[in-house]
Amino acid sequence: MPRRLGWTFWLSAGWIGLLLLAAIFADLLPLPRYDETLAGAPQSGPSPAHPFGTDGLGRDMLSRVVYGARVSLGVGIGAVLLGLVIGAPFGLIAGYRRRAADAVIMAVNDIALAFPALVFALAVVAFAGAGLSNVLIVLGVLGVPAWTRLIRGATMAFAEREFVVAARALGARDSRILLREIVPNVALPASSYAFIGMAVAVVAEGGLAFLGLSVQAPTPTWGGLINEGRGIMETAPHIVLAPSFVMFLTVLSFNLVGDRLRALTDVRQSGLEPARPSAATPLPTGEHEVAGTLLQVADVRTHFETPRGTVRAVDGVSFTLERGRTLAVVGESGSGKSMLIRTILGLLPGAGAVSGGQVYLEGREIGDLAPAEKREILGTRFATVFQDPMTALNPVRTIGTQVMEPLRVHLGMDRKRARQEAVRLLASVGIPEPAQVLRRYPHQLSGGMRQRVTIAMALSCDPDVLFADEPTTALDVTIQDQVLRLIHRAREERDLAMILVSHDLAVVSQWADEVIVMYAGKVVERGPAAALFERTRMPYTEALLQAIPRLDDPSHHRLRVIEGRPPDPARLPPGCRFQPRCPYAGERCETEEPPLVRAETPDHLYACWFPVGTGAGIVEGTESRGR
Amino acid sequence: MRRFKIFVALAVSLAVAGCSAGPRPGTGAASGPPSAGASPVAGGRLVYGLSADAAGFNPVTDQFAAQTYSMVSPIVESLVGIGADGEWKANLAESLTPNTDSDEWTIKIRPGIKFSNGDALDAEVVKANLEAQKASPLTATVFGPVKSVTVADPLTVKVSLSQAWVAFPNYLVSQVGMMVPRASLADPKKASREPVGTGPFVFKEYTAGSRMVVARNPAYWRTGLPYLDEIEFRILPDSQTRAQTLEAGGIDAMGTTRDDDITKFGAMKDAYGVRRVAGMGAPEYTFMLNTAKPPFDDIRVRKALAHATDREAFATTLRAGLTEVADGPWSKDSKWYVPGADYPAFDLAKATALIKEVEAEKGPISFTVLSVPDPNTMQGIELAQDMWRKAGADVSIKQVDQADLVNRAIVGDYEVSISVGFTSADPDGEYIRLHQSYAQDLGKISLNATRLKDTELSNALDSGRSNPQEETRKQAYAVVQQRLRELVPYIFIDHMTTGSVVYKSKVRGIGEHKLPDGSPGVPLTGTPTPYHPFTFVWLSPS
Amino acid sequence: MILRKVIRLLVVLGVVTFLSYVMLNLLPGDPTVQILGMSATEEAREQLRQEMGLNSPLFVRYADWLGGVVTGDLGTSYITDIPVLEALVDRLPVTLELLVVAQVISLALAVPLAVAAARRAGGAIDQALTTLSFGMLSTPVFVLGVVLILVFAVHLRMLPATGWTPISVDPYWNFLSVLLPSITLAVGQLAVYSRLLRTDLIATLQEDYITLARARGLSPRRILWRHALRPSAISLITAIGLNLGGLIGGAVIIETLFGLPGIGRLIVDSIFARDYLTVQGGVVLISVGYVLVNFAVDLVYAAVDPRIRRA
Repeated sequence: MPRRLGWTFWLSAGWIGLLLLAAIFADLLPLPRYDETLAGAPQSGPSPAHPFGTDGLGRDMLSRVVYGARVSLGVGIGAVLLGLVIGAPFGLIAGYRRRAADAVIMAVNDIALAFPALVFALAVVAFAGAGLSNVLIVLGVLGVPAWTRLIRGATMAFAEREFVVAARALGARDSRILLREIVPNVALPASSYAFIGMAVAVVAEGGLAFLGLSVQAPTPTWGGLINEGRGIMETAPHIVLAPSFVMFLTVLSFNLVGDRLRALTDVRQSGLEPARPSAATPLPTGEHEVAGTLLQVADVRTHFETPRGTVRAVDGVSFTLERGRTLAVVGESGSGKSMLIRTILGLLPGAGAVSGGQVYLEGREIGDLAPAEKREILGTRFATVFQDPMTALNPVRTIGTQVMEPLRVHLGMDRKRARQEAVRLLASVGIPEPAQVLRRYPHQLSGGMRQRVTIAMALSCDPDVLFADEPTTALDVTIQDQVLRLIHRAREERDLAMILVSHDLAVVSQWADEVIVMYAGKVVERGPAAALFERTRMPYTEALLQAIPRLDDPSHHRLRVIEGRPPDPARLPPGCRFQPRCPYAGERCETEEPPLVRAETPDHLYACWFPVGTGAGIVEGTESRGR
Repeated sequence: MRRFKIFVALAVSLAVAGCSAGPRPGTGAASGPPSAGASPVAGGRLVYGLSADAAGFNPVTDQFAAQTYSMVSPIVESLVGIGADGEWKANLAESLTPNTDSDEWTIKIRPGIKFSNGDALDAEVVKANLEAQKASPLTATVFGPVKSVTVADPLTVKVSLSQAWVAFPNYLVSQVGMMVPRASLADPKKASREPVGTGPFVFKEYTAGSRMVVARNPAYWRTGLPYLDEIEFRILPDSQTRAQTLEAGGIDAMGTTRDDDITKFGAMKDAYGVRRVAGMGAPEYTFMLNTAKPPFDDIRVRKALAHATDREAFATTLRAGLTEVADGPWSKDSKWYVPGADYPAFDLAKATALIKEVEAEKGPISFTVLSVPDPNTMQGIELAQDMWRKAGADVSIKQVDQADLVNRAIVGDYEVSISVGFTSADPDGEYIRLHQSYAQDLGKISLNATRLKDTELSNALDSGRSNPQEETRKQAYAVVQQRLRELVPYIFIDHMTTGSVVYKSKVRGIGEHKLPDGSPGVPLTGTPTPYHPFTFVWLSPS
Repeated sequence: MILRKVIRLLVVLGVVTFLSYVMLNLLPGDPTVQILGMSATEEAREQLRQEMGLNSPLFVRYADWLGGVVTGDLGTSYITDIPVLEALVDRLPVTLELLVVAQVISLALAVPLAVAAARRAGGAIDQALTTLSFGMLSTPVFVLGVVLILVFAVHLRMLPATGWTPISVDPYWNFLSVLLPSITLAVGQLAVYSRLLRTDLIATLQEDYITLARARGLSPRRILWRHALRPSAISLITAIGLNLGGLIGGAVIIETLFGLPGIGRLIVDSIFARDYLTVQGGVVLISVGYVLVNFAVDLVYAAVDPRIRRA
């Protein structure tokens, strides 16, 4: 926690704490009275007796700034608490109960938002007189709609989470759920907003003081001090500067604390490109020969530096691929399949990723190319289809714009030609009425249609290698086969090389020429599809194969799953990474990592000390934990 | 914010008091490049910064503040003017003559004057104006003693009064003496927005809260005048902003009350001129005490407060030593001033003793000071609060907006209030605010806001109002000053001679007004930021 | 759907104006004092109250007033004798111009800054923007405005310190006079806008369609501006809407500081002058503005995100 919050948080929190202490114990500090006039010569600059100088009436500025903190912090904290106390219950009820309660509360909230804050503030202050409590009430009440909205939003988000739904289903009392389940979860966003709200309230109080509507003089407030000193800024700048600076630091601190707290809930996200170009040195690459095939991937690695340690998402993968062939990459989720594709394409997220290894296209290393050349290859030689057609298309651009874009950018077509080509492409992937579809937005199409569109886009610039990352997983079962056939047909017609990522071995066995099995970032078995499926060596592959549901399974047959969970990628087990879940694992597996070794069939490789189907496991069965 | 201050002044100067002034001959401190010697050049446009907007330009229906006079007086003129010697002089009127009892005044109107709409200024329209003023709820009180107005001949009206009133012409300097054409009287709402008069300029345009533009009246009855083609009044309520705008070249001149502006611009003699208000026209900075309400119904507490007040400290800290301390409503260079050692001097020990004495009888003394939330005003209040606390009183401050403050002052819902006023050229101008017949009980509207009922003081005011002999009047006002010092309904601080006009050196003739008879007029008057005629202002081409 | 929204907003208008009517009438201070001054007699005041209808019950007065508003008559101020509508129409261009110029300035800077920051999140530009925006967020306008006047108007003499030149009088001076106050207003908004947009852009950049756009070999510039910007703009639009809605009431502090005759000053002065009708007119303007902005924001949402059009 401390490390994640960062030093700015602690520095800011320290400043607020210091100020808070000074404000609370101001009476005990060796300061002159804040309202003692002529304590020093009026408008005199900083001196040992008056470190911040004196104001126009000869009052000690340090004392005034410190006592001013009472008002400013008091109003800041008080207004936020008031807004929270009133707004939070409404927000909780609206977000939890929904329906009528939500409608009523949000309608009132709407009215409150439409009510002119200025008129309200002026009227209250004019009516009840300027004073600490009135300012606090005004700012607090003005903050209520925002609080209600925030708490409602956070509550809604959590009210749908499994643990709350489960608790409700179990018949727990609402008050109990709210108190036990929701409030603790809403607390973090709320506390983050509280600090930002305090910053806002401190500035707002300053503004009211500036308009002469804050506390009764001579009680100092920062806004008031600044306003007082403004007139003599040129002769005695310290009178404005001292409170301005303290106010600035304080507002900044509140903002920073709030921001850091909010950042705690953030998922780590990265921009389009790494924060610092080539900040990390690439990981070392093992020796290899450059084969000159269509695609060669040599010892590719991607590691992520996280606070929990290095995550080896892809850890040394090599293969070659010829035109007209299909390579399938299989494995459970989290095995590094998708990351392998992104690494090859150079599409790693910027944050904390370090990669290594080489990718060759027809013997040319593409990692060293200039960005424009690399983009040219990405656009015209490679093509990609992703798993989820719902997210693969930009929701705010028409299908036409999206399909035509690569044609115009990479092939330099004019608008008219690009449109004709787009129509042809869409028709070629079996989309009816392609001209109309071009004018539609993605949300107006079904999932299958959208995937057809993405395939059309992938094929638009006549690529050589197609990367298909689980292209059918998100689709309806009835459509999956159509889409796969479409891809396959395209591959055959165009003599493409294809890399098909899948966790569905049934699909893989039907379409792939070669298969790579990945586990925890590593290739554990690799070979021609037929050999690999028939003479499986690696126990993990075996487990995957067994997990395929079969038509001949008796009904109500318990779905076979692989025992245990994939390892934590930041804390990989020693030795073989599959060893904790492996039924055949022996002592050696816990200490030594198995290398990829050749099986009897040509091009069939596996990484296992006790491969299945060779008798090795049975011979040394005394050591194994047995079946 | 400056608007608040103006209102405070109004609140206690009772509508008409703040509009006439008269320093003694030769007063009106000016610094900066000399304009004498150079001959005026016609043409040019002056941009003039004001501290607040006017509530309306109709002298019959709208309450005039200092800035209103700045904006309206170039267009609408009064029957009477004030000379640099502080005496009233005929202006639109040719002469004003009292009868022997001073209870009837004959006003002869200068012939040949026309309003800018073409109407002639004659006895009928003067009568209509005076009667409208008498009927207006705004100014009826001032014209209380006016019985009737009659037309004697086409250029003469007679005003008969219910009592002797020697200072009557002094009142005709202000808005009640301003003459508008019949059309304006018939449509007061229009007149409130588009003033028409006989003045050197005519109305051109007005954007509320922002600016007013007046243009030269080519048919002005005083030939060869005015010099300027156009004046733009720009309303800049924030004093700091106003000063910065002057410095940045956005305006050519401005009114101010800040000592910092006087010091700063005064030091740049080549680039800027500073003209300060002086004499009777300078307002007095005071604290007004509610003598009808504890604790100030006890004269000892009022005296204690005065003893606890270090007036010198006010002058040095708030006015950079530019002002002189006050011991009464009139400044020492006025002919009405009488010295008196009886005003309670700064003596903290005495103040503490008095407070202790009263507290022993009546329990702790605590009270609230009313102020408007303007930072400059607040500085003075805070200084006073600390001084009074040192004497043992429990003092708190309440900020209210100007509307609320006026309301509280006239209904008596206050203990101490800031009050800036006493700017009348003639002491009779303070009649209403000091006379006991205007003091009402708490809760009733009382134009004498201190509610001090002192027969001796009131008799002296009556004597000053009705006796034409200057010596008798001086004696009467000596009694007024002496009673004020003894009874302490006001704590006098200083003569606020910081009210001034700051102008670029190319602006000439500010405060160098000449009345129709050729005698010099009063340079500056009014509170808090003073105003002056623009007839003789011109721009040096260099 | 639209009808429901209209009804809902009309209810908002009604409640807001009624509440403000009640609130203003509870203010201490007598409008007759403002109009007649202190020297008027009680009888004169009473007569004026009668004329102004101050003696009839609150509900009756509100109903009367509302009747007028529906027919487009906001009344005439008793203090200044100016029709309220005219006073508002006079001031509105000032406030609107201030708002629009400030929005243009802040958006013109915020969008490229946010895009640059999101391109390399955590990079040098991003960190600089974060630091800068926190600094800007933490500088109150009344400090910033004073400093800007001091630097640009008094010392450098580049811009007028204060005042207002209507655009009809002189467009060039009008632009100059609105520049400093707009910059003062824009700085805080710039910080908010750029941070909001940056956050949403970064979230959008995690989307598959962005990764795919990269996989299609499109340039980062094209991806950021053409692919990522629009889907990331919803929070920004919401913030602009809220800002515009809130600021139709005027930026009082800025208007005071720069001597601008805007709506905010009009309302403040009118409250202090007990000019109820003008304040009430201001409340109507603000609420109507809020409602219009609300509609406009909905329209813009739909323009930006086609998925919303369906709803």
